[in-house]
Amino acid sequence: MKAKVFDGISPVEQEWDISTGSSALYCTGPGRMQVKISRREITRIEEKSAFIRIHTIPVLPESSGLLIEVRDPASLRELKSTLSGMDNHTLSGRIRSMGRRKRILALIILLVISAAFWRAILTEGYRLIPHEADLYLGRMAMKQAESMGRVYDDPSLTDILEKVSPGAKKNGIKIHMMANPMVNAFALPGGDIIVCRGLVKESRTPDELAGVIAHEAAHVELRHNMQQIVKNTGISILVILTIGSGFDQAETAETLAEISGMLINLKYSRTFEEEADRLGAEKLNRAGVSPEGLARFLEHLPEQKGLLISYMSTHPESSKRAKTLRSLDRTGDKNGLIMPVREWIEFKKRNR
Amino acid sequence: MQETGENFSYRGNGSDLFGIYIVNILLTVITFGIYYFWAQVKVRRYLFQNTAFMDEPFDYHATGKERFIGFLKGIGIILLLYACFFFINAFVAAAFGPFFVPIISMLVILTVMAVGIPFLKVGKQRFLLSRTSWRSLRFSFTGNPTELMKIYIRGILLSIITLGFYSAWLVCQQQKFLTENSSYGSEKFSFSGKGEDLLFIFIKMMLLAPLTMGIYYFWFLAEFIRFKINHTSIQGKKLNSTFNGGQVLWLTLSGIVITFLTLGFGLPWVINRVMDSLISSISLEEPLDLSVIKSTHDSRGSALSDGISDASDAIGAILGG
Repeated sequence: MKAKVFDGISPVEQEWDISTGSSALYCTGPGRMQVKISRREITRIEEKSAFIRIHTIPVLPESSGLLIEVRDPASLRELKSTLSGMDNHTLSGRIRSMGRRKRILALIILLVISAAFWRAILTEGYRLIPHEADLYLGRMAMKQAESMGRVYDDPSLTDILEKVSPGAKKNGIKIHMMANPMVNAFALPGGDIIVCRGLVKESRTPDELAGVIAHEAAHVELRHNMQQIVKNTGISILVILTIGSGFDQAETAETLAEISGMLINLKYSRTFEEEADRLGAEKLNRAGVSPEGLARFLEHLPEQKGLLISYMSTHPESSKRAKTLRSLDRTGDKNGLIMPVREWIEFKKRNR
Repeated sequence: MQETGENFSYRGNGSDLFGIYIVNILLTVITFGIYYFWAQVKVRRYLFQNTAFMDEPFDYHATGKERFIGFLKGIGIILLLYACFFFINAFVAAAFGPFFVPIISMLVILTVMAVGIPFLKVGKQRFLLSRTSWRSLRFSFTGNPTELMKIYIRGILLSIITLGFYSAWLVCQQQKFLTENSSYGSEKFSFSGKGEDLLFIFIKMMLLAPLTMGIYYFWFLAEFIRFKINHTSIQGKKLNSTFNGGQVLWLTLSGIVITFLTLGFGLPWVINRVMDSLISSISLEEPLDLSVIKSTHDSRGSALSDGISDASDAIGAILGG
């Protein structure tokens, strides 16, 4: 059969004669030059309905490899059958010979296995990270927090923490007050909980504040910060790998990756809040304090217009959370005050 | 021997590229990310094989395996650099006190950047061209990174002194370095762009972009692309591009709409449209004389620079996450 050949020495097109054997192609070039090409010497085969292109390793001196192109329909059939016979010895050839149905089945099985793996990494991967990492991140975060307002300790806060989370101090969980008007409290990695003065001001009863503290202590115990870091990283890698597959220069892919990552992270943040509500309610029940306080505080939150926009964006709907918290109330008639009224008034005065 | 058909053309289509894209996503997920390198090669090969000049397609010969090995080596180098950086910081803090740590850190970072960026750029260009062919004849790149380093250091210093005006000459010198060290077989490319011409384009952009609320930027981008292409020649024959601002504006706006409406799945069509518009706008003023061109295969191009870039992106994603 006749083939268009570029010999990898010059860009000028040549016409060669090709004949097929059981395990090789026999090519005759200009000046009756003979070249035998075995499967090992073929680097790539492009098979289309109109043509076949065969790329080889450099089989001639000074050449960067042959490019053989066959377009004649009769020759195409002959060449295809020879190449498929030669291909049976390679892995890709064996996969191709498996048949379409078996290949799809294998792909589905592999997808299920890999989905389970990715899920395990995203949800349980944080367990592989030592607690020292939380402490290190916590120290860095504390430096950042200190730039937002003076951080100091208040014995009443420590008392509430010990009541809702007995043994907290022994387990390295510490609570601090921050001179900042934000209506917020947050848990840092490693075990430091920070309550902003704005939140104390907005708390109408001690059990409202106790509810928030129990919720933050639950975040610490569940290592939500580290879970969030592992999930964020895993999602970023997964999304960039998939959306950006091959389009390494496309900035759009990167933007899409960021947006998708952000949306998935938002969902995870909400799940963490729900988990912390449940464990927080459990802690409150054990301390004999009704989760009703936290429920009331959450319902009160949306009234603080402007202050809580960022807070709300990562949290589930307050009314839904309040309803769940009420359903978890196991205190019944045993509901007690976490702090005497006089101490509460003094505490609020101190932290105005 | 003279041949006709000196236009460039692009023959790819969105649905074919979409097929590659979907398979790439599946295989990348299944292989826990390892297939990423094969995926990149597949897409680039598709784009190259559908770009033709004188009715013959280009080809891309890199393999996923060499990209992956380059990435592994890159991870090793980046981690070694990190380790050296921390060791130097610890040594400076112990020997001279913590006051000097930020100063020395900055000096180390600037040195690594000044040396690293030219080496990476040259390495990437060399690898890309050594794996690109047309009519089975490879392209090659012979530029020396120290030459590029000198261009950058001189250019950045002069740009600072001249309040940024010298940047037009810096861009021209960089383009000249990249173009004139590139060859197709034995035939070298040349670049005739002048700093003063590019400065005029930059000044036009600075004046017109604010007046048109940024819309002129698309025309600037097209003019900048044309400047680079239209000043490039081979065998004394100039390349010519007719790519214009209207096309850039339309491709950008429609690309954003398609990508977001399809949640990213329309990306292959967007890339295809950009390739089609850009490639089809290019032609060579006269046909190439192919008979005088001979092979000079560069076997030294390695995937290490691409690997270092991929590795630093991956480490950046982990640290940034």
